Amino acid sequence: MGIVVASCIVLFALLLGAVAFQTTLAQNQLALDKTERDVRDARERYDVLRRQRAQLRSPNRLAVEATALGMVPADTGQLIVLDPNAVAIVLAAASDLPDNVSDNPSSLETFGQVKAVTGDAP
Amino acid sequence: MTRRPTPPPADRGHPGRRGKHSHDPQPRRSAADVLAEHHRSERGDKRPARRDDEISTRAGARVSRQNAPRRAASPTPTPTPLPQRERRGQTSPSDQMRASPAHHNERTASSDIDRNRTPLDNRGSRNSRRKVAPKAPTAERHRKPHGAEPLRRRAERASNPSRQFFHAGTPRRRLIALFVTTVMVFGLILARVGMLQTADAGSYQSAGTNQRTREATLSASRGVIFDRNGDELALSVPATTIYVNPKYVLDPVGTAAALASALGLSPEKQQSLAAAMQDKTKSFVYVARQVDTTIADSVMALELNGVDSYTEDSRVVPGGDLAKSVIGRTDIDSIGTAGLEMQFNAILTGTDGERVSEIDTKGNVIPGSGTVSRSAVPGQDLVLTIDRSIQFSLEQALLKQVSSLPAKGGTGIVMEAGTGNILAMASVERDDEGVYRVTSANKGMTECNEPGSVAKVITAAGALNEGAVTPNDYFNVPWFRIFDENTKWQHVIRDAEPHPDWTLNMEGILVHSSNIGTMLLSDKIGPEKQWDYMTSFGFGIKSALDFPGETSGIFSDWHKWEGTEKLTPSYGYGVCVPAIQLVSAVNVIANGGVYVAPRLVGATIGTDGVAVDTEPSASHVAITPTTAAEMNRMLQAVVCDGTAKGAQVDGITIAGKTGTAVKLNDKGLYPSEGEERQYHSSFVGFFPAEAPAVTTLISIDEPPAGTQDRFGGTAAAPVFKDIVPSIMHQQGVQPPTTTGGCPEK
Repeated sequence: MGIVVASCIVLFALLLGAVAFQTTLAQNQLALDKTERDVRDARERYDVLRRQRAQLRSPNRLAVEATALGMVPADTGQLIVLDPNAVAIVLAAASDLPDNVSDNPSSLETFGQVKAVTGDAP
Repeated sequence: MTRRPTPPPADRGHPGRRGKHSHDPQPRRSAADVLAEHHRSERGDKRPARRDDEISTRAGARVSRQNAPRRAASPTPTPTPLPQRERRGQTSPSDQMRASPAHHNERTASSDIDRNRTPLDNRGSRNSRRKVAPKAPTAERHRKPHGAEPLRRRAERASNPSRQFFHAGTPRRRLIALFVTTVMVFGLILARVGMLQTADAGSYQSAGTNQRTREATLSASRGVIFDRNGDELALSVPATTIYVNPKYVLDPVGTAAALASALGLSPEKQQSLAAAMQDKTKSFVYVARQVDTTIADSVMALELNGVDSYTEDSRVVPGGDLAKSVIGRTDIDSIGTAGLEMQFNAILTGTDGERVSEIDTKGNVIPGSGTVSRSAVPGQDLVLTIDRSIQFSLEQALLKQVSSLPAKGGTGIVMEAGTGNILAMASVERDDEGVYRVTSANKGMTECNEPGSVAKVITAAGALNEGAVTPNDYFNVPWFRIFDENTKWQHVIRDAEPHPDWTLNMEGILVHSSNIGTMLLSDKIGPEKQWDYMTSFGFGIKSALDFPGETSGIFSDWHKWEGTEKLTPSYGYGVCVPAIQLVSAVNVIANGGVYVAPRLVGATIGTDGVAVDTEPSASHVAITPTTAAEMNRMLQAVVCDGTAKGAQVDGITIAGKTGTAVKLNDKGLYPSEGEERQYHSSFVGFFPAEAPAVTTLISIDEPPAGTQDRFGGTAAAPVFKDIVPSIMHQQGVQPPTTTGGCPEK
């Protein structure tokens, strides 16, 4: 009688453990799916934002905006000699430092870093 | 129905032990048996009670079901020694059966028994087998001596040959036959199982997998096309495609109207959509492909019956028409159909992946069951040598000049002198409606024209490089000359304008762009050398770009030259070259005498996100650096003193050469005297001349023929001048000296 009861208890415990294990697996899989969806959504959003950035930086748009502000293309050009220090100050103020000076990665480097991580996230 | 009899109190505690080990010699009778027997006794029925385990045979005898199957399956009765109990005067139930009158009919009756059984009988039979123990022998069963009748029947069968047909044979043979049959059957089964597990496993395995799984394609994203600074020229973004299943559409006309309103469809499209939705044989009809996600969300919010959507990539060109003749285009399925999109379609296109999900009985994907069986591999990205800003400047300058002249079209190419990298490449033209647009065709590579006087650079460089002429050699240059006089090849060649006889050196010939003077230079080296130098400068050879639709031009071998053909290539006629060949040729001078092939793709970005530079352009020495330097100086003079003054830029020393070629008429002939002429005017120059960084070609197709704007110096050179500041800014070109430009005179 004792053996039967003990066997039942062990069997019940094993079944309960199996159920718990399967439940944990399912939970982890759901969490994994959600993470994959998040990665995919983030990557799609990254693409959309890159498109918007490219459109905003497009010379066509800039020309239209400049024209709307009353700017016109220069008829003549004149080359003048500038003080390199003045040039550096202006570039730093405009956050447009050359790649060899700036610590910020270029847009290509940033893209490569993202692509190396996400690849083609499912 | 029989109920299980309640066991006696002494046995209740050990039912299993009793059933397994104890053997009750007395047959156990159920309450129903007792009641039935009591009832029969009240009726005076002397027949023994019929038990559930007894059945009627055809002869009216009763046969125990418990024994009947066993008997039916037993071999032919053979004389066997009587059981020990029989010898002691006891009989077993089976012995009783063997001795019963109905025993001779037992074999035939067994089949009747099976036929006459009902499911209820069978159930009762099973129950009775469990419950009923062998009964004590009845008086009826003792009526005939045991074994007498079987012996008699055996004797009858022996005397009756017709009945030997039913003789069952010896049990040994039957057992062997049964064994062999069984082995064969199991062998066949085993072989079939083996086949299913090995040779035929794939199909069944896939069939089983298909029943419970569903594969979904993971589309690989198409690679991005960047300019040299990392700005996107073409990229893929997620979009939504809306479709409809007509089988689920309840109101086709109303649905089409709602979709047309939400998506801005034309009335024709709305009508065709309504008609398509009325065709219930179809299950899929596109409504709109690759629409903006927000618009698609608004459509789906309408919750129209049968309308659904899915996500797919859409190819986007953020700059609009910018560099579209270079980038090319894709179809709606993101397959390259023109330009670089077509040329590099294989590496831009990744490898699709696959996701396997388990499905339920209704075909719905079970959440959390999906696994990526094969990951999608994204396409490689292209980093072009194109500079988006220079490209824009070139396009705008061309549009401005072509529309203001007006001309039929124009082409421009900006090349990095040392590397051959193409910084910009554009063509514009006037369409049928008279509007000037950037072309989708890359005319700088797909069309060829006679270069005109720009080709004189090669002739002069060749003559100088061969030592046939020195810069200080002077020539008497009339304004026309008759060649091959009094032969069938007689031809008059003239300079562009009448002039008195000039005494010109090589620089003078280039500055005045004299055809006669250039032919005199060519005479010094001969047609073979002329051909060699032109070939070495890249004429007649398709460039290394291998651009879709690229032409190699028309430049026949010098052996085939006849008559004036031996002379006209020296000043740019009788040879047809695309603009890419022409700019590459003049770039030899800028690059110190080294020809460098043009290059359009600077790097690729693989899956690891690392940019890998493409191979540098192939190069070869065409002329010596000394010759190149001398030609550089002469071409500066052309800009400062000659036909290319329109290309001058303050503070920047420019070197270059103009060209104005008369186009062939529709008949493929040069226009005769008095016939209207069309021109192809060009200017190719580089800057700063002291340390050339950029070489640029500008050509204007069909400038106004009757005006001074028809020449390369007036139609094309101003465009060059317009874009130099932008190029210098974008490339960071610093003038090597503060005294650049043409000297004041």
